[in-house]
Amino acid sequence: MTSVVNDAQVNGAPASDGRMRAEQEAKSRRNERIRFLLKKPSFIIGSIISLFWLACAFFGEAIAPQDPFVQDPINKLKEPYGAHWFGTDNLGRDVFSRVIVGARLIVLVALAATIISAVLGTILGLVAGYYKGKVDEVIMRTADVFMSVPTIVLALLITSSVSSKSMWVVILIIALVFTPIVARTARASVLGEAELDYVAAATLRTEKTPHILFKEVLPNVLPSLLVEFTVRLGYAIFAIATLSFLGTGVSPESPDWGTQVATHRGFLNGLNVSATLFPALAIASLSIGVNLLQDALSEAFER
Amino acid sequence: MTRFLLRRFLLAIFTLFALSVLIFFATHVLPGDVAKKILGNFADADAIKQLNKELGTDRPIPVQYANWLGDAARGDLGQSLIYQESVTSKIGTALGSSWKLALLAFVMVVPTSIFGGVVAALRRGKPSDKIITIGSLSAAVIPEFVWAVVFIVVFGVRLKWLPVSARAPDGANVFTQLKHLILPALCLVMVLFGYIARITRAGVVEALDADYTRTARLKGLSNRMVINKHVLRNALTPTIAVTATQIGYLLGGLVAVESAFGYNGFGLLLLESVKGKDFPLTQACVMFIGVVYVITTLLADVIYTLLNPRIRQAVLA
Repeated sequence: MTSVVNDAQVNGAPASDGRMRAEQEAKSRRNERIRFLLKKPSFIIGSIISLFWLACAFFGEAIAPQDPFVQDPINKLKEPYGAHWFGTDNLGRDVFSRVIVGARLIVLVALAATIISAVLGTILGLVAGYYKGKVDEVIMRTADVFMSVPTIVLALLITSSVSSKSMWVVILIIALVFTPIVARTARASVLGEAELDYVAAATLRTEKTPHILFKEVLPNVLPSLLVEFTVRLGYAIFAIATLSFLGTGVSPESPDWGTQVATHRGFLNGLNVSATLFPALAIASLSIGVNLLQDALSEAFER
Repeated sequence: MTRFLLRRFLLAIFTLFALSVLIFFATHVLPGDVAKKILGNFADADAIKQLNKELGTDRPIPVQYANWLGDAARGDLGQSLIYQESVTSKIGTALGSSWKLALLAFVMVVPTSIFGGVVAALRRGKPSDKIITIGSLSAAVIPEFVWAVVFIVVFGVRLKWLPVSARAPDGANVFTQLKHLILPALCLVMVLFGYIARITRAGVVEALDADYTRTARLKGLSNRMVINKHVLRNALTPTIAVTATQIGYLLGGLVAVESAFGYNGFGLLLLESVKGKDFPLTQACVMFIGVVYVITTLLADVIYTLLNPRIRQAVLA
């Protein structure tokens, strides 16, 4: 007696055996991917950097050795010395603590914007790729328009006509610009899936379209969407940092890397380097961390 | 093929039309009351009314859009609000300085990134490939202004090799001007290099694995002949397309670079117009970037189609 028959007898239904085996296969594929990722240096380094800044974003005040707001005008614009590992800024505040706490704004704004665009873009992309025809045409032509101008320029255009400079304005602008681009990626991966047998089978079972899209198709395109998510996160960091450097981003009371660079770059010429350089390097490290993650993930999923 | 090109052309026209609607929406509808936006919340009600009348922003939105588009089509982009000068001449002057920076960046990045991509592909999987690929893509995700800070600190402040301002003294000769533009151009190069190198590498890798390359090798051609005649010729077509699309990006990148180095060009003009709520200038600058992007991608697609016999055939069929 073969094990297949045995299983079928135990479970009472032969159909569940197929499903169980498929689930097991999916699980072992997932485990294999995780093992592959854990062996990749780019994934390890990328994770450490990203998690470090994520921790700073949430628990910045607890991690920072000094109060980032305390001013000490006598000791302003000092290069690193003693207790001030990164020196002091133009008001004598501790640059190291301000860099730690400054992670909050950029990390949270970038994450929020990317998550919103990922959710909306995925829904639009699934619909476009599944229905094709007119819906598809409209969504893709919209993506064309948004991609014909660099993100930063579109963001500048919109900030010019919105008076409020709250965090949500920047989040919504970036999310708005990214949504059609995510939709394009989601659509591309759905187009391939929609032709596959499991979709035809689900249709024959008279499953409802939302069920087919979100329960059947979505899990299969999730890997490429995850990669797209990390790509977008990188671009969001790029755009948000640049906007705050240009002085058109969020105007925060709390420390912010781009603003720190903009405020202190005038002192570069001989007066002080650290107050500009360290926030700039913080932006660079966060960008590289996310990029390494993205690189490792795309290799793991697209093998 | 004519039909394909015609469709592609119509698509480009449509994209520009939709972009103009988007820009118009952002500058005329989003602010609510345009004059109030310009004069501030505490401005006199009569003054607001007067300015709205002058700007034509008291008329119905569709009429405003039609007027704007009509004027733009005749080459009249309106008056700048902060400079008291026509938008066209203001943009013209700014482009007059920006093209030097953009051209220098392009001249620096195109040969080096293509070379880097080819080297990476030929040494696929080896450490040098990894360094080029991961290094250049990591460089590309770092914002231009961060590169600006790093370069200013290293080459300007510490080593004192290059000037930290992009502005050369008046009447400076070409070499002095060039010296002032190297660091700003380098910032654009750092961001562009990764994209062009990656697409070049992908193209070369694909060509190396292709049947015609195996055939060429089996025919007994030397490695050099195979690479030059078969691999590179096939691989570099997608590179042309990607390189062309980066011109549009370059204009966006100018905003941060010109701001970081204090260079009075197109990017800084766009930034000033946004900060000064000079919406005729802002919308013209953004539209200009869109036009450049759409035209260059259109040209890239046409060249791509003409150069690649397989696509030419497929399109014909």
